[in-house]
Amino acid sequence: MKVYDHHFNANEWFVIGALCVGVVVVCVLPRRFPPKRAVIYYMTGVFCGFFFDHTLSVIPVSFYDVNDTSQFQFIDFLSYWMYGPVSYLFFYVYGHLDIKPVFNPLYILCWSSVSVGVEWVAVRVGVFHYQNGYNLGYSFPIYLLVQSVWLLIWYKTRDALDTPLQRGL
Amino acid sequence: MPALSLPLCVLCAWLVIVVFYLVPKKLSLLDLIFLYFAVGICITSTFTYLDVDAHTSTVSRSLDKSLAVIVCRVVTIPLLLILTANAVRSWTGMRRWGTLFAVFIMLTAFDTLLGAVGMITYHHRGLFDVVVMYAAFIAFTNLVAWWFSTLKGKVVSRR
Repeated sequence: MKVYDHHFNANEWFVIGALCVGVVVVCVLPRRFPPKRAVIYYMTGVFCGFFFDHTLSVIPVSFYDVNDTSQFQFIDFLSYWMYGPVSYLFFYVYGHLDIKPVFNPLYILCWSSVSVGVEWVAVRVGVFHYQNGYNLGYSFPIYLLVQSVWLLIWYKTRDALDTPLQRGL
Repeated sequence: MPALSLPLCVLCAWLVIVVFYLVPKKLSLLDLIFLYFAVGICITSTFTYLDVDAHTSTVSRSLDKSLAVIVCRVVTIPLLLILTANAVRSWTGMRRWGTLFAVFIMLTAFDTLLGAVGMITYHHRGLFDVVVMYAAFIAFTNLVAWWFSTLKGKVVSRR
């Protein structure tokens, strides 16, 4: 087990602060989506955080550790929930601005740039610890890919009815 | 001997996808997406804890086997668990309980098989632990499916 820190300090406060600010923003914004879609849009970010941090960052090679140690701690679990407001805002702003499909790549580029910036801050305060050759530059294409998938989710759920599918997806 | 773990696990995952596609579903697309996210989070958290913290289920660090395990955890296991939620929502009586039992046996057997072929190494973990874990996964899946089905409401503002 690798230990990077022993104290409750900047990285923990960053996670707690980001989570609180994100949840407040989500709650304060006027409701655009029905409850089920709102939950899905929030969970999209959380799921992506869990997926990448618990698969690609663990097996076969651990490219980065999260927070104070290489083990899975409660603050790590909490840190993934701070991705939820990010994805919710991604979908919210996209719907609010009514972005035309021709501007989708530009929208994704803007959000990916912001995401890289936030990750840079997170690395500086000790939330992420890169290893085995990983660096911030590799996160940029990952954000582009992930947020492209987010837009696919938007188009699939935008007009989805809450009725049984019967056969097939 | 070529590495067969990944192609075999992908084949299993694809067969589960075929079954999942063919089974009549009472769940909506929104239900399916939410359940996949919720179940995925539960599975990845649990298995990471068991691997990294508790050291009771250690995944092989070879590229072939570790990617195969990722496929199992991202496709095979979540879809099987979602099928249990669909069974509870869609059917009654023997059909419902038969499906639940069949999926439960499949998950338990699959997990045991992963250990037998060396993809996962189990320490201080017996059949009882596996049974309890997958029973808890099935219970969790159906609990969140029920909670999500209670969400109703209209959009307040379209500004």
